Amino acid sequence: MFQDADSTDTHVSAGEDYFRYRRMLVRHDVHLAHFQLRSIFACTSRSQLFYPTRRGIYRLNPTTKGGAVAIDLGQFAGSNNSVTTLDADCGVLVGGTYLGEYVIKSLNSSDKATYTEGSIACGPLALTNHVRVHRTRYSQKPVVTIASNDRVLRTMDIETETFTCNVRYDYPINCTALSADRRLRIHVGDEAAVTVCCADTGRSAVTLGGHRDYGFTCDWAEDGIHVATGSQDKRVKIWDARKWTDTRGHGTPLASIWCEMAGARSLRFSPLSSGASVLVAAEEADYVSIFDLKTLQKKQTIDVFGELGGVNFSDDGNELNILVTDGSRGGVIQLDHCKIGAMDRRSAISRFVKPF
Amino acid sequence: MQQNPGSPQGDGPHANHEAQTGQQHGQVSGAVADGGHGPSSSPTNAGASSGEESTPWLDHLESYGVASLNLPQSVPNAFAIPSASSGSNSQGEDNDADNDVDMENGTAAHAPVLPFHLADLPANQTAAAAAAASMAFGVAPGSAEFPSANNSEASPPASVQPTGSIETDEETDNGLAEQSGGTNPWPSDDSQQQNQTDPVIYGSVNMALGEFLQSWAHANRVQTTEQTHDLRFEVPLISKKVDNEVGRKVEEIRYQDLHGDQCDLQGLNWSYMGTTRTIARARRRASYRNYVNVFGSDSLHVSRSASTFLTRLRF
Repeated sequence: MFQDADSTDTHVSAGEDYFRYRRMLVRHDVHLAHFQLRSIFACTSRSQLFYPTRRGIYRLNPTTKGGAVAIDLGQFAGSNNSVTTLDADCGVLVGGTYLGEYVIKSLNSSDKATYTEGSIACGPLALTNHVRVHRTRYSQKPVVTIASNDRVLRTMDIETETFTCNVRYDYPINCTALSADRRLRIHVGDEAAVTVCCADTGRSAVTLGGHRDYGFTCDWAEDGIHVATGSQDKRVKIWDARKWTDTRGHGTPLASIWCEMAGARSLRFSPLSSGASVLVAAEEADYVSIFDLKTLQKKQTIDVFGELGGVNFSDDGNELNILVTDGSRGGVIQLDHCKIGAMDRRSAISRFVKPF
Repeated sequence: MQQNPGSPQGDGPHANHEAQTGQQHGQVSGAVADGGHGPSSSPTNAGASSGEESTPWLDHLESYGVASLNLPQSVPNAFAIPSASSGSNSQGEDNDADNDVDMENGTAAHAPVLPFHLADLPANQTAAAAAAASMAFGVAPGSAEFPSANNSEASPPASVQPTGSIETDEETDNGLAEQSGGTNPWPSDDSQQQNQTDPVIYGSVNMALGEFLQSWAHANRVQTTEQTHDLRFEVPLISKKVDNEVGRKVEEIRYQDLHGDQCDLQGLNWSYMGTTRTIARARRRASYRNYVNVFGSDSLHVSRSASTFLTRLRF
């Protein structure tokens, strides 16, 4: 049967209030190219949110409620070349397409129309699963790690657009996350096990068991300690990077939390500067859970009706953005941090209410 | 079982997965003897042959002691592909076969697997299958447990034909299938066009908000007077209120626009639609199906007992 016993799985009851509703910007043009790939939402600031449409990548400015097409793929040959994943960081917007191509656009450029494009892989399995823009620990130049469905994890220097490292695995990688010191990388894919590997060479360091199905999301907290993985088995596992396994080599997660309705497809740790540390888990549809990272026993649940494209923080963690890809009532839901979330409510209230 | 995916003695992680999947499925359903096909491929296999063979879903029920039910005669062929469509759409069968091969070989991991869904069946067979399900699980026919296939908008076409290009791109599809070991992970132009009118995402088997409400409302058109007093049957109205509410043109929903608890985060006024959000949520949770690649991986219990399986079927 399966490796881990179900006694480790816990159900966290909702009832906390870490974020409060501000508004929802209704957008009907959000396009989810593949139902399993939900790395399609990026936020670089309060005024720049990126999500894919049928024509390319759209930039939404929530402050002005306006926007424009950041990358227009309409001129590409073939109608199936939609964006399956995107990421924006280090002043660069990178997208991966269904046909194994990449598009790169500088966010600081005054030229709003031009972008560069290239090929990642060819063939029927060239589908781009995940891209992540980051910097290496040797240089401040931005690089992008591209996970394709052909089981190859590629690292590309954005400045020169050359692939600097190609690592082939036994299974397709679906999501990757770097540690805070950029030495290690965790990735999940079409395999139940979670792999921690060297970020430079791609050599596997630790293999973590526990999940029962393919993994599609992971994230590494900025504190360098907490790591979260989400799988289609409706479980979110939080790991301690200081102690991955026990003496027998079995994975020892800090918690294995049961999801509400479907498997988690998007995980995000809050930035360190946002105060109370939380983990946001967006399921495939309807449910977004916000866990208190200190106790892992409290959470806030936000439920909507529609498929979810992902979650992301902006404004140093003060805003939480949720992308709903429903055609009739989809869009971006914005929540504000309450700032008293992880505290004990009684102690928080006693700060402001004078005892009488 | 899955501790060391890179172990040299194995044939790769996919081989381990298939072995595990086949083992799980073999333990649950004795009807699928080969153990190579996932649960979603079972309806296809049943439909590929004549209508006299048994359906895997009903075989599941038979293995757990509900075989003594007097099912209608038309039920055993509820999973069969209609002969008319199979004759005119030979490419569609090839696509289904490609999906089967894909599940065994594990080449294209993101090719959608098509589990059993009542809305995917033709209308006449869906009625029979719903009747059988109502008899098996004690649900009143026409009640809120299963969506009705009479509403053509409720069926997700993209999930039924993932490689929807049938005749025009025949050579291209065949070539892709050969290169990828029998799987074409690309949606064709036709499926893209279907997605333009249907917000259901490519490969997804779950309904969007509008379809969910419409199918729910249409599935409960016939209500008896006894059912109207039951909260479970407090369904949205069939009138244009659902269309008006879901299709209402709004650009921004602020906190003030919610009017307290009158509207939810998406600005939907459920009382205006004739139901409550709690009931809609329960309905949504009951009808939503989590996609898995390993059968049974999302179950709460490890053991594959009959009670667990029946509980999953009852949502």
